[in-house]
Amino acid sequence: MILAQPILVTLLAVLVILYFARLRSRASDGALIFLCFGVAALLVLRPTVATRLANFVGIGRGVDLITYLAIPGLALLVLLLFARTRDLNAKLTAIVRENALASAPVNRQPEQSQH
Amino acid sequence: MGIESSLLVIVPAHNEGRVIGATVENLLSAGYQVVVVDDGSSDHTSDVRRFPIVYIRHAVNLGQGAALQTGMAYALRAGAEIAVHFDADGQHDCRQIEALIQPILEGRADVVFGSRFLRKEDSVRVPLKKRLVLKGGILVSWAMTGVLLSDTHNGFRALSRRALERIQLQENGFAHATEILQQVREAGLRYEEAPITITYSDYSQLKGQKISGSISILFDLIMSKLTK
Repeated sequence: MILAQPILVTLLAVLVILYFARLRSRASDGALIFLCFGVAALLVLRPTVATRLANFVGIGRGVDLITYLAIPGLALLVLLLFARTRDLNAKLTAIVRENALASAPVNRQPEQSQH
Repeated sequence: MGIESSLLVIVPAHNEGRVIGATVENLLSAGYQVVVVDDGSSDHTSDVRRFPIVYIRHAVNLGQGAALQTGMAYALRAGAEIAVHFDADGQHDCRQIEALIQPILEGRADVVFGSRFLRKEDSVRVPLKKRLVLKGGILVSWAMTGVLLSDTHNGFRALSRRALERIQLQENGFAHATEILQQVREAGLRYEEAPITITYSDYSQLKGQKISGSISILFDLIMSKLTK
């Protein structure tokens, strides 16, 4: 725990909210995933740098910092997959609906029943 | 007949073979035109074709929201002036359709939501556990759409042609009940609530939404926000 940590955490939270509220796009999601995993991979290769950086932001070990980088990367990846599934689902729905409506008798009004 | 000739009752059905016959029969004998959207049922729901109705079948199961949207798309194409959503499982009473569509006929509303919580005699019929889940859903819907209704996850609704033209449900699952509120608000449609009675049979209890269902609705809603 260092003094700057509450400030860093607040800053991070603000950034995350801003990102989700305003800045998001598929491309930026992809870029962030690469960034998270890229930086994490580099830090794996340079453990001393990882540790120094971790200490700087108030995280104990370099490995922890790498984990913290990987988690948002994974979370965004899952979100992207979900978005893709929803897209596919929307397309499937459109096809099934068109198909269903095509075989429905539009002009034939059902016979009037007793009333 | 009058307005009934341009009124379509949309009945979404997924594996409702046991009860849909009776539901459709009641609607027909009350003089309504019925569209059954069979959402890829694997039971004998398709037997309902023996009645003089429009039968539309999804080749695969998509969900209740998708079935309703298909029904509404059909209603638009068929030139309906009013469409009514009506559950297949017999928990709605077709004698209440007349009161439900009244605000549309009088030009006061484009969408009328049935509510089981407007009259004391209706709300006491709702089992306690169900009531808690429903109230939770009402709050969630309010938080996500800014529209506060007394009963949101209620499948008994009436829509004017104007509403049919503007509402396009994307949520295939049960989250459509919240999505429809959002679209009503965004399209500036006028809405009202009307008291309706839900009859809870063992069958509808069995098929009805459970707590696990409400969690998956919540999940769908959050994901729809995050994956836009």
